[in-house]
Amino acid sequence: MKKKSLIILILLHSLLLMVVYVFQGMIFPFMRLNGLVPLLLPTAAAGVALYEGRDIGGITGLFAGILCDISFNQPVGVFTVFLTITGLVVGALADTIVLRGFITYYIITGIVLVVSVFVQVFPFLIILDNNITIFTLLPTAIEQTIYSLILALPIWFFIRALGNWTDKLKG
Amino acid sequence: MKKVLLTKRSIIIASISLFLALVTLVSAIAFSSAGPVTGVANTITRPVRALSSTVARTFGNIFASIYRYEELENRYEELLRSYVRLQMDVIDTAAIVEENESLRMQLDLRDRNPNMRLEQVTLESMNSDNWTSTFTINRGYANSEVRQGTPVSTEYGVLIGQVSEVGATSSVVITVLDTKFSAAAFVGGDTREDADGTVTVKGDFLQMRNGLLIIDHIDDDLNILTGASVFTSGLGGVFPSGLHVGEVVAVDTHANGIGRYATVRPSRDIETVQNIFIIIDFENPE
Repeated sequence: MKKKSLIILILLHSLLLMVVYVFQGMIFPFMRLNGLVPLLLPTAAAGVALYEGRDIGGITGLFAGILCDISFNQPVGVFTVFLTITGLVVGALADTIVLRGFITYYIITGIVLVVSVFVQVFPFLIILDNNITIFTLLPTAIEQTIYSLILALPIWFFIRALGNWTDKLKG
Repeated sequence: MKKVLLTKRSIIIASISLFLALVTLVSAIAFSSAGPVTGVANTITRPVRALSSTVARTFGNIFASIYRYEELENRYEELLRSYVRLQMDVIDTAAIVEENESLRMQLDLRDRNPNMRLEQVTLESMNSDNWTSTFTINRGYANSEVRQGTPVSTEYGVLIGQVSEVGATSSVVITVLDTKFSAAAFVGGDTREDADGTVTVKGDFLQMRNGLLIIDHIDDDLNILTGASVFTSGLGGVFPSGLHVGEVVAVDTHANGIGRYATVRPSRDIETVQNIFIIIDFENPE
């Protein structure tokens, strides 16, 4: 791949991440649907990893994780590690045994979103008290996953377009 | 698969990620701060956040108008009815002026507490997860006297939260809706003499999505009425006394039949609040 193409590729991926971050961290918190904000950055990280492979997937996961932690007003850490590993694993799967396509994207996104919920509720699970039980958390977890899966659809179009463009550059 | 995953590049990427998390963890344990990585990441994304925040809030207001159309319509009807009722009543102007004066006194935070030092801050971003209720403000230890636990209010003395983490140039505030929030409060009045009783008002996960908080474990001898105002008591010295927290909207018995709880609607919708102040210093009356 030419140096110029590589730079354009990095810029486009950065732009995708920033746009997704702006929507997840800036716009949707002010436009909560039924009090909820969708998770978009894990979807973007998993999608990019599926279409671009392990290396770009891992790096995208790293930056998506940092942005995710910031958007949750948390110290950089949990999602940074989680999404980096997600990017690497999904990328490695795509490089070896998984076919790139819409159904695979949705299945992987679904799994990543469910694991994301588990990562988010983990502190609550440790300190369960009378007011917060698993049944208290479950409706929010399910609704958040469904809401995020719905918005995974428009993200897929951009990720697929970016993936196709990368394939062309690679020849 | 194993060969593809465990390559030199993968290990480098994973190591960078773990290193960043480790730096944050060490900072959190050793210095009780979010750490340099979070600071740098926040600083880099600050221009984007500042720009997007303005746009997002405009969108948010439009969205709120659409989403709450029905609620606003009902409210409008209700207000119209009360307006007509008021017109039909004989209005005692002197009484209204007196009441107005009383409310003004109640709301004027600086007048009531001259030793209180306020600093205006700007809301940078709301949190985007569904498990906590926080926002960030543009003040940190490098550009303000803000510290962990600093109360956050509006100019009218409405409590909206408390600083939970202080960074270099920005801080995280947990709102009154967050499950970590709790405050000693008076119900029914802003002083011990006027109040019906002393309670603890706190965030509740189930009510957070509805924009409400709760008063739990209400004493059997305490009669809390719907519409009663909730004010911080100042007990414990965490919050100044007399900050308005909200209004009781319902009093219910727990599902298991043991004990009562009240739901409280905050006095201010945090997403639409314009002027935010941190209370750097205050003195509670003896």
